[in-house]
Amino acid sequence: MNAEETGFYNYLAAYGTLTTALGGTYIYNLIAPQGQAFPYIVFAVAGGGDENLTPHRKRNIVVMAKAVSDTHLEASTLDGHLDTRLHEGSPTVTGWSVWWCMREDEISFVEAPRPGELVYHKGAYYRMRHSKD
Amino acid sequence: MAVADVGGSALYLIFGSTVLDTNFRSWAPAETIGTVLAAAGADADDTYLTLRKGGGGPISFIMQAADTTTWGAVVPGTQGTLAWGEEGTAQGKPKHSVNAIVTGRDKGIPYDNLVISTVTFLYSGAISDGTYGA
Repeated sequence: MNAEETGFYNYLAAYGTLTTALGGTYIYNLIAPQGQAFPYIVFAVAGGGDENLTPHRKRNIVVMAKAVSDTHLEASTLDGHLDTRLHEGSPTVTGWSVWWCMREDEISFVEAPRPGELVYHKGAYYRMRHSKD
Repeated sequence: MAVADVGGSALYLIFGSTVLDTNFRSWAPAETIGTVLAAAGADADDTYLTLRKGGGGPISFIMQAADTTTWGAVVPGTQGTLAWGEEGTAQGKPKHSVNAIVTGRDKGIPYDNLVISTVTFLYSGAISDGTYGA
């Protein structure tokens, strides 16, 4: 993981309410391990990049963070924990100063990987803006 | 003849001993000259005489956390040498300098964006155009 991903992961992993609800630090970048039991969190940098507004480097990225569960209620509850932690949050990114972390677009869908099995995805895209120290 | 466009990213700008380009967004120096109407009587067209030159401009930059030094260097009324080079300070690149007075400053503080300050300079003296040396 790069510094942004590491900072985002550490910020979520340090949130006891979330890890207690998950039953551990089941938080993954990009993809969960194959066969990972529900529930878990998946996050990924989904867009954005350098702003190039001034000679002083600044980045503006969008990070997708979602809960994945086999029950809608659990996915929604975990999404609430993500919201509480991340909206107006303060992740620490080594070498950078984060001054903006806000929830933007919602994620809510369900998939049916096998007959009789439903997997719920609930989360959002969070915009994180930071300046080089 | 081939020519090269000039981007603004290499700007160097210093007021007194305070470098202001580090977080700048824009700098727009302007030069003017006063005029007086010289036409009279049955003249069919306006003609003018030139008076004195003047100028100035605003610089906008992103404020840095706990940076009281920059803000303190641009108190309205502060006078000093304003020097800049839009292509940086490499040898032979254009250099401009002039005595200038800070006539205004403001801070824009939006909820959803960075805090941006704009400082307005008024030239007080002749502008000197040259190039940076070795």
